[in-house]
Amino acid sequence: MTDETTYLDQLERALTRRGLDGSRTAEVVAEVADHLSESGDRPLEAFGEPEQYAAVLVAADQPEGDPDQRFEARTFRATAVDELDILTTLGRDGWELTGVRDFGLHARRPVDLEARKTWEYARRTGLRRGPVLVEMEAAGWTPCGRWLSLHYFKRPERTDVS
Amino acid sequence: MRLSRWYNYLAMKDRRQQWLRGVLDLCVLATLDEQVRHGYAIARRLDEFGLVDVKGGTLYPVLARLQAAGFVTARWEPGERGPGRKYYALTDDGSRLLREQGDAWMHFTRTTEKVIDPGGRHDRRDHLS
Repeated sequence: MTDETTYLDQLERALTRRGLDGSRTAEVVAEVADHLSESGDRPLEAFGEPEQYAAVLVAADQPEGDPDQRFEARTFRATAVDELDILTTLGRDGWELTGVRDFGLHARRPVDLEARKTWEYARRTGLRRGPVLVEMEAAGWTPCGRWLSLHYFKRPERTDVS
Repeated sequence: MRLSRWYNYLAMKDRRQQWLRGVLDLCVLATLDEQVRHGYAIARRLDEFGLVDVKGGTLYPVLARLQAAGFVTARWEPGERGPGRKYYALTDDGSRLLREQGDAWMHFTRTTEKVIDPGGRHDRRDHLS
């Protein structure tokens, strides 16, 4: 792996850990990659340590003075045996799963209690992701992580956290 | 003596970074007022004006803040290779911010200039860029 690939990978992990959703994370990483390839800069010199850049960028993404938009992020440990129970509990507490990596469950929820909602989670097994996605998205689920052949989905519950 | 000059140099760089923090968002908006650009093109344009120290790690968070606040919009265009390129454009709000805050900044720098150099004798060469 080149320096750049390693850097982009570390940046992606750091952004996910801070609760940035998958599409925004991909966007940030792609923009950094584009900048590096065009400028010829070395990643560390142009963007600093990945952890630090991730922190600055996630903070920049939150509109100032709008507490509804602020999230706290946390990583929960789980295994393939107990992760659905854990997710059910987390979802009730307002945690939205933003990614799964090596059975760290990366989740976020709004800092503002009023802005929190509850989430339900589902897991499907399949070697081919396409058909699983089609079926689940038709039922209102959003993909929120995969690990090997396990695919995780989330959707907001109708009732709010009281 | 050489050592103290080195310290002065460091302090100067640090001070320029502080100045830049206060005005970089307006500079970025000004480059987008000229035309739609992607991130690296903004950095190059700033460089042409003499703002040579704007690194990616400084520029993109500024763009993210401007976008989150609605002062710029962005769109992705497919590239020849890879995931494509993100282009930024000024919104009406961004245009207004540039006009109003640009005026305020000009007023501020004219004022500080008068304070620092009341007689107008100071060296005017652009030795800081």
